Amino acid sequence: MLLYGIMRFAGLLATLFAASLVLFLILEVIPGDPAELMLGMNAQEDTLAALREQLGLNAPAFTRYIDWVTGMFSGDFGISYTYSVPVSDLIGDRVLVSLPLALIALVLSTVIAIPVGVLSAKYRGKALDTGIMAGAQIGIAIPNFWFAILLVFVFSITLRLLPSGGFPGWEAGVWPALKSLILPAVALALPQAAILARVMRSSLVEVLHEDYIRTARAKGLSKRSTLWLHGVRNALIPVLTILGLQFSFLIAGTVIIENVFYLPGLGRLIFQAITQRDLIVVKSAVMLLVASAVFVTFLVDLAYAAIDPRLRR
Amino acid sequence: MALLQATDLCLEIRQKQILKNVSFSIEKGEVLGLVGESGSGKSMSALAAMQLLPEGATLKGSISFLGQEIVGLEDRKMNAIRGRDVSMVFQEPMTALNPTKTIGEQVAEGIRLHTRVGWKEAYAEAGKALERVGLGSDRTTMHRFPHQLSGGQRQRVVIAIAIACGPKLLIADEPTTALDVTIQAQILTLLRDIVREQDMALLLISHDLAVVADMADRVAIMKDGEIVEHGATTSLFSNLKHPYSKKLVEASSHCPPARRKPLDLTREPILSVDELVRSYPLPRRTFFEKRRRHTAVDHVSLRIAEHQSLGLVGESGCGKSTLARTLLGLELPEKGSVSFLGKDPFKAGGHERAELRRGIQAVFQDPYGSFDPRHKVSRIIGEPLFLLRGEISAKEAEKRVHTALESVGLTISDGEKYPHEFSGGQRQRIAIARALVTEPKLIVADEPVSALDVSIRAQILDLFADLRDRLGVGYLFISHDLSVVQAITDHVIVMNSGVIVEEGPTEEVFANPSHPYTRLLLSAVPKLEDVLKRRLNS
Repeated sequence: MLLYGIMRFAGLLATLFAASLVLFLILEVIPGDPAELMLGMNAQEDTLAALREQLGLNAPAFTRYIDWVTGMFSGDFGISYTYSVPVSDLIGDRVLVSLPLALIALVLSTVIAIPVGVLSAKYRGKALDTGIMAGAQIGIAIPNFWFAILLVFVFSITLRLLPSGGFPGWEAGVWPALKSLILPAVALALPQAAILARVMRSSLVEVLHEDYIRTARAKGLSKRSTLWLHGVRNALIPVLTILGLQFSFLIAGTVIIENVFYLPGLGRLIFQAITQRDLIVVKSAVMLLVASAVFVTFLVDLAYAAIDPRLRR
Repeated sequence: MALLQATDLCLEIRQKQILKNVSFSIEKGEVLGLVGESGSGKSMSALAAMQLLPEGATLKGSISFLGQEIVGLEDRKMNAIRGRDVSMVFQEPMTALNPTKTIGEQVAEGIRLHTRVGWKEAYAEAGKALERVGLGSDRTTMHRFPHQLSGGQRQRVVIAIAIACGPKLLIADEPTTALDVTIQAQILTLLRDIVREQDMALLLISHDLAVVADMADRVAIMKDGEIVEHGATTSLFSNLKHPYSKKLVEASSHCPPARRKPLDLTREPILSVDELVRSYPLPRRTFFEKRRRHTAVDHVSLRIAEHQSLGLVGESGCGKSTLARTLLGLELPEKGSVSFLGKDPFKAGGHERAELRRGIQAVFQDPYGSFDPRHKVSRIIGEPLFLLRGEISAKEAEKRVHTALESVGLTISDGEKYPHEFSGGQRQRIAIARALVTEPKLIVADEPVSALDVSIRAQILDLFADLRDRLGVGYLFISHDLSVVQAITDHVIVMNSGVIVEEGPTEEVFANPSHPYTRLLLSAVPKLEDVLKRRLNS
């Protein structure tokens, strides 16, 4: 188990290194001079040169890569080209919106999907199963931004229960802040939950045909106990795989949803930074997202070993 | 009153009649053997007694257990009977256990359910059950997971689960079919002892007549959902009445005709293998450990002469399949050399390689798994002909496919069908036709009859013998089944843990085994004649 954990962690570090290199190289080849952007079209050549020197743009690529990586370790992400404030401050504020949003969505989708999938598998072929799977199909088909608008229409405009957008900040209290995250989280979670429920169902249906399910029944376990004690845990293995992959989609989804709900999150920050060619912000924010996705994959790998003893060596 | 009395069972699954008026009874402490070929309904009879029939099954008739009718009994009440009064041991130990739970947990679960004791006491009881089946009850055993155990050990766990609550009736459905012969003997002895000790009744289901004759007090022979003949074991077998029963007994000891032309062993062998080694890396146990390797084939040498039929016997994991894969060129040898028709197939390239490949063809255990289900049979058979591309015309290729079909006893029109339209035995014929189409010198047959019923097995063995005489093909015949090897081969090699322990002319080796492992293998296989003789004398 320990060896397995160490190997996975080594994999995590290697992935992060590769990702940082790719990211750095891509942004290196994109045209556009940050100094020119910061000073505008009419800047003097010598001021530009001075700024380039100050931003460290003249150093060789290798040195700049090392500076960037070591900077990130000490919390120094550089200075934003457009806002002229430390990137760490910019990102820090936004993470407090995006991370809770993604986590709530993840928990929500899991909490909905697993019982629904189990229910569907238990009544496979019956009306309830057909109904649930039809619902899941719709959930997958609906684009989440459209679903978000629908949610706003129902819960904010018609029922006036929840805010339609914006974020009051955590200073305004936990409940008001959470309240403004509910609709975006639901909009994000729904398609994920639909996919997850389908995976859970098919995986459980397959497991229920396994020989050890018959062994459990032969022991005298009821259908219900067999389903929960022997079926669900084994069926969770493929579900975990999808869950890990979905986290990246959730993060990508926040870019759209944060725009729909006007939330000051990481997604919107990246979106704005790209349009303004604030590449230093893009670079660091994307790296942060990559790191979180890789970290979630690492957690999923550990969860695999916890569920499946065959992986612990 | 009988312990279990089944009367006029009729079972239908999706409009298909599986059981037709099946009646049998088991007394307390009695062993009833149920024999038959696949599809005869023997497993379904067992599942009916457990009330664990697949979904969509409709069962009519009556099963009374200790005077209580259990057909149509509500599931809640049946749950209390299952595992406590009637329990079951299944065929496939590799998949019968939950891979995510420890074996202690899995044995204790049933005990807890039926006796309502705490986990601690249930674990203590589970320990006793595991001890009884010969696994030991210490903590390390209890905390092991199924994947850490061998097939035989897993079957012991399944038996421990079944006997944990001291049932009155134990149902064993082909309990040893998936196991090696030496393990089979151990498991059968274990079952016999437990049943005697605890005065349990046993319903033993098997396709193997010798196993049933050895174990059962009474035997029922099934065919197509009906019991055709039944009676006390010795009197039944000494006086079989139904033609099917007679056919079954004949087929189980079937010996194909002997070789017509004598072998010429003085000529240069077509295949020679010298000091072949193949090993695989094992997973590391600790981070800094040097990778250990498992040597599957350890300095093996063998020769096969033209037209010769060589048998390779050994239990699972002895390296026989690795050896076969190397000979077929699917696996690179690590050390040693292989020479086929005087050339090294691993050094040959291009045209020469194709020529060697067409000289050696393969037949595998599971023919269905080795066919593309979307290809017609003629395409499946003709596929190896790509080795002859440019040499024969399309017309000639078609003719070759037709000849191959006819040599294995199929018709030319069968070539237009798909594999799923054929029975197991016919599929194996297709696999043999595919091997024959390039007119090879040698066919490597890896467990070619293991998945087949005895009567089909007899036909396929006859086919192999016929092809040997008619076309002069040589065989490397790999099997764990000694009777098959004895029936069809001239020479035999016995392998154990990657090493050849004994070799020689088949007759000599079987009559006079010199290595203890060969003797162990031979003594572990029950033979119908010997078993009946012994039982009559005792």
